[in-house]
Amino acid sequence: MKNFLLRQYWMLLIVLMIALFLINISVGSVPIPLKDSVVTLFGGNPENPVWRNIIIDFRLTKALTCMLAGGSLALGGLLMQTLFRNALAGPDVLGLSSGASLAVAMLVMAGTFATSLITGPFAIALAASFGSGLVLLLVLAVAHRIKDNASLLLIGIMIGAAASSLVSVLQFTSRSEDQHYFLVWTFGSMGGLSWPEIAMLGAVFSVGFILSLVLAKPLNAWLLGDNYATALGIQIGKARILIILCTSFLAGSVTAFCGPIAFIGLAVPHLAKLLINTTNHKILVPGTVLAGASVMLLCDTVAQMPGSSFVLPINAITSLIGSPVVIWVIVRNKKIRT
Amino acid sequence: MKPQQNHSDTAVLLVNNLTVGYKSGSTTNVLLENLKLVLHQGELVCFMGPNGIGKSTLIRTLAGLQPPIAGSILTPSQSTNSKREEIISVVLTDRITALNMTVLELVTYGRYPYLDWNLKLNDHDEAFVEQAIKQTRIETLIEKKLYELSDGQMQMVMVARALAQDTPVVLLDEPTAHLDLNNRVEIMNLLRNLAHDSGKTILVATHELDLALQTADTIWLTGKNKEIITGIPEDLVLNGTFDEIFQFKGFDLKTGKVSHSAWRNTVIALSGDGHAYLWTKNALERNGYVLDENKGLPVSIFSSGEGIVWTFNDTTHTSLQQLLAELSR
Repeated sequence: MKNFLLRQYWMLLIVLMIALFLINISVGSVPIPLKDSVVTLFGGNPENPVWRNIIIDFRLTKALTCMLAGGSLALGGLLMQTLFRNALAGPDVLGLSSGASLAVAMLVMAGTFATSLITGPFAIALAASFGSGLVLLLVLAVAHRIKDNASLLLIGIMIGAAASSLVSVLQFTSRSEDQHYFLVWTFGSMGGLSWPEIAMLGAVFSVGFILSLVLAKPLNAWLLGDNYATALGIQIGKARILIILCTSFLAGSVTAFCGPIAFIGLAVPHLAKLLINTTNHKILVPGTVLAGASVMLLCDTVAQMPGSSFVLPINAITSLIGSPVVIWVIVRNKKIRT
Repeated sequence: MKPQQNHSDTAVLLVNNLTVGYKSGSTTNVLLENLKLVLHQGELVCFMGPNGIGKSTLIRTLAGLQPPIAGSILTPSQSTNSKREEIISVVLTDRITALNMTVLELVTYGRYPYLDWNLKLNDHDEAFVEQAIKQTRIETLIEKKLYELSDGQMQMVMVARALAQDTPVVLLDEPTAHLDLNNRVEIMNLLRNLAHDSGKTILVATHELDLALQTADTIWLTGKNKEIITGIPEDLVLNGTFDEIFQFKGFDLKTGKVSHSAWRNTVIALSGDGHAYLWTKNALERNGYVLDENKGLPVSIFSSGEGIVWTFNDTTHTSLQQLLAELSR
């Protein structure tokens, strides 16, 4: 039993995630005591009946969104880092979030739409899904023709760059209020999702998570390179398409509902690998998901600026936490290689 | 189990009119053509030839990692529903980049062809992993991370991974490259023992001429006309095939020595025997002297319990260095 705990200590991340979840729910412009938060979550009545509405209608949906988005993005990042055997890959290297951004930018800025009916959150989610879906088809077509992963990585980044520059052109030619609307979307947001939207996010995450666990064998084998993986009987062509699809849906759904969230997908897998210290994806996949959910909850809690009514954009916080981690990974890798 | 050659019933791998190379776009780059080869059970085959001639390409094609341009590869002794990864395991020159893995994890990869998605090892799998670790004598390394290993240890671990796969055929692509003499000998000895004692069929692409000549049961030699010449090492040495392919410059394969020019024009009559004689001959020839049994300056070697002494011109020398200094005066 003790041995089991030692080997499976990554499960402590569950405790961490639950703690961060409760803290996240308790803080905000209206501070709610932890005790009342817990009571409300278990169906009881808090001291102040207004707290109940705040928790159920606003904070619970936001905390769940954080966990699903953080888990999805971190998992997508892990899959890409393994597929490309590149520590600096993330879920956005395939150019999906750039595609989503372009579609949203077109919706928001390409005319007088901003004031019309179309620009609700749901329309934006639809546009983002459409944009990332289109890029996904492009990437799959390329992946089918080009078997070399390094080339695929470069092509993904090129597609992303092209989409980004189109966004810049749109920004340059559009009205300032539309620009502002788009800018706010790029900041990312964890709040304001309806329950059906959360259910959708949860469904995509569940499928992606289970698929990743089933893919643990090819993912592990990939660490030895394409040739060794094939020699071990892995059908790498099939596995590659499944990994790309899985990552696309995970990252695409988050971008659609929460905007382009930076750095979580890149930084969290490294954090998880540090904590867990294994290369086995059977453990890395759930571990990375838990770490992603925890980090996202933490970032959102910090973004709330507890005690004030001021909320920082979530992307500012994720990058603030992400950058030092990426720098650290580069420094550490250099040490290992020599 | 002794290697049994020229017995078609021990053939584990049959290569029929195989052509290997690369297709890129509409152009086809053929490296080796119309190969007809057999690998027998319990045989150690060394595959030799200059760089860039297609050795790695043939190994990858045999292992099913790239498609052949033409021809077929058959495994007659195996049941038809055996998968390629259950018959052939490989050690490639590809570098492992996931260095944060432990040695045990890497060896366990050998069992992947037999595991389902849940990757759960049964007792049978564990036994093969344990045996592979024992055979390669890496018991003390299993908890180490890959980045802690030396090049020689890393190669042993890669061999262990291939052994854990428990395949009748093991293909190795230059497993001894970049290793020191001791590690090279250790790996070649291990491979020979595996072939002869465990009945595995082992194909090694290597540049280690001396080791290959002393350990291989069969040599595959390639280098011209996109073909592979096969035979036992001694035949290929004596019929000049090695000389033809490698175009040795200043190396006489039949004596196994680097050829020296006798630039001193001094003939020495050396008397003595055993290792001392051989190494004295080596030292003298290396320094440009000609040796003749019957005439020339007399040098004698005497071995005693206290060591070896050389006498020349009534003076006695306790080292070859002293003798050479005296001779050159």
